[in-house]
Amino acid sequence: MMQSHQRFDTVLIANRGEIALRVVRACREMGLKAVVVCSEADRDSAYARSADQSICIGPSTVSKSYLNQNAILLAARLTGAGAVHPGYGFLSENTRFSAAVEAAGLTFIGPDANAIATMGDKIAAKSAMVAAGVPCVPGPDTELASEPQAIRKTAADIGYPVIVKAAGGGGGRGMRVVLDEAELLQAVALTREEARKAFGTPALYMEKFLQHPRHIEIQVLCDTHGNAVWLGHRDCSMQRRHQKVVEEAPAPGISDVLIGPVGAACVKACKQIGYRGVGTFEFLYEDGAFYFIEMNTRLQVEHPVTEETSGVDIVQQQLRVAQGETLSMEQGNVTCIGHAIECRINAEDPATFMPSAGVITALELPEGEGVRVDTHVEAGYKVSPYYDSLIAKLIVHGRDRTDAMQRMRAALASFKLEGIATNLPLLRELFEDAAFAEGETDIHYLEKWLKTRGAA
Amino acid sequence: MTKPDLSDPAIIERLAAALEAAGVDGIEITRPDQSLLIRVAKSANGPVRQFSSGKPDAAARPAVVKSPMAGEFWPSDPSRSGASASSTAGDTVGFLRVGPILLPIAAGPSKRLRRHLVEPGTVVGFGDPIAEFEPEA
Repeated sequence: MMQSHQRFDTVLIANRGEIALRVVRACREMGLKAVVVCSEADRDSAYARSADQSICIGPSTVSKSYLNQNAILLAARLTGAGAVHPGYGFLSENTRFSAAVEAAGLTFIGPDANAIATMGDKIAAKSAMVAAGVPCVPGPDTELASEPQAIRKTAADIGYPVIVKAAGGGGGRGMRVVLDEAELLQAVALTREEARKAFGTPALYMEKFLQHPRHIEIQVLCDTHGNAVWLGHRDCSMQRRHQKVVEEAPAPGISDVLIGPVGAACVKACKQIGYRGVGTFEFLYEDGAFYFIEMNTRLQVEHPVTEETSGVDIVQQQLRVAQGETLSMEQGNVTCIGHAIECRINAEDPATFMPSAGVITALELPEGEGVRVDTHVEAGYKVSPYYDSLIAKLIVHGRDRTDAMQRMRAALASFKLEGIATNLPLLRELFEDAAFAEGETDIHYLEKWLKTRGAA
Repeated sequence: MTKPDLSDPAIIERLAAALEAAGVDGIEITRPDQSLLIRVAKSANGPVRQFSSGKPDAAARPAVVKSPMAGEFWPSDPSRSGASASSTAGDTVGFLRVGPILLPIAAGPSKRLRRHLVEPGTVVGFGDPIAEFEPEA
């Protein structure tokens, strides 16, 4: 395993917006200098200027700025940065970038290229998880056979309903749910033909189909000395088109006895693959069972809910691990207290979900005990059409879920933002929903709720 | 190692693509046996903008050259003492040190350098103004 232990005093942040500012804050608290790279669209933003140094690396188009690996590495060289923090999105899970940063003699604040590559390959990741005892979706981690008899046996072993997926597919394409044996062979033949046409390979695989799962995830933190802990769990089931809208920690209604062994298995998997830094194991959860879907090898948007409940500053920990420090905590010291909820505030129409761009003419952020807002915007900020619509994260922490829900309602009510459309009205309405308030809604709930209220 | 043939269309195409991707508007390679000059055609929103304002008093305003990429600005070639950048029309008005490469910055046609806007050795970003020119007569 590649280990980069060199100390650094300057961190280049290869990202933008709220997460760039979040990393600047962590650097400042640790006495490190922060350099922010930006595109032409972001060069005059207050958040970019708040860093010790900011450097414009290219035009607004992401391919020429935030995804331009050479320009970022060059900026690191020009500014004397010793480490690169990729944030989330953009180049954060790019094996070539992680390797290029290390090859340039700099520290990549994240896992090494091998770990990113292993977890980016669905079959390899599943094999690694099975080896560590992490529960996976039932189904062989090999390509589906072509003989009818073998296909029938695989489905029968898994148990109906099953889902047939293109091995080269993704984003919800190239998959078909099969409810019983009568429709099995035709479904396989159709999916195989689609896979051949759409993805260039007819390879398929088959898994158990979960009908009403929740999205539960486990946050891990690992150093380069073989130590690893998990920092509790989150529920991110409130999604629209695979985009998370609300996240909370802990996942409601899941006992420590049930999830404890899963967390321990995640830690074991990290140690087995020599993982370093922060990471998230994502699971589907249905009828009391967890099914691993993928590991995210980066800091996640929703990390603040875990920070609020565990009391651990995850970004500072990333920086410490990258400096070669040993984790300052053991699993026995990790205690999660209360309940935290995060709402993603997006610049988008609350009814049509079309992105909105323009100038924020007025902004009043909610304040008070247990309220945190992570944002890079201010009154006068121009929301650019070039990037993700996330403009703020509103996080509340309460003594329990009921308390946190109430705090969120109050915080949403006092959040004032004018000039552009946001999803604030939608979130305010969602937090009045009885089933959501009850908790444990599944990943399809939000889309069904949107249909019944006549939107989207 | 054999030297690449600078007249090879494939090499020229790759270099041009790399320049475009990096937002650089040109490169000049000179060696004893061959030399090559590539200039990337500028679009309306191209990386280098030697602009003058569209307002009526545009002629009275100085034109500005902006940095085509992030780099260290030098008004003259830092490896050659006394080799100062020219200030005559269309000539090089400075250099951008980008790693091991020294990128010349051209003044553009009919432009006379009024002053540099950044100190020698300053790290400039893409689009930062680096030199100001006399308005066209």
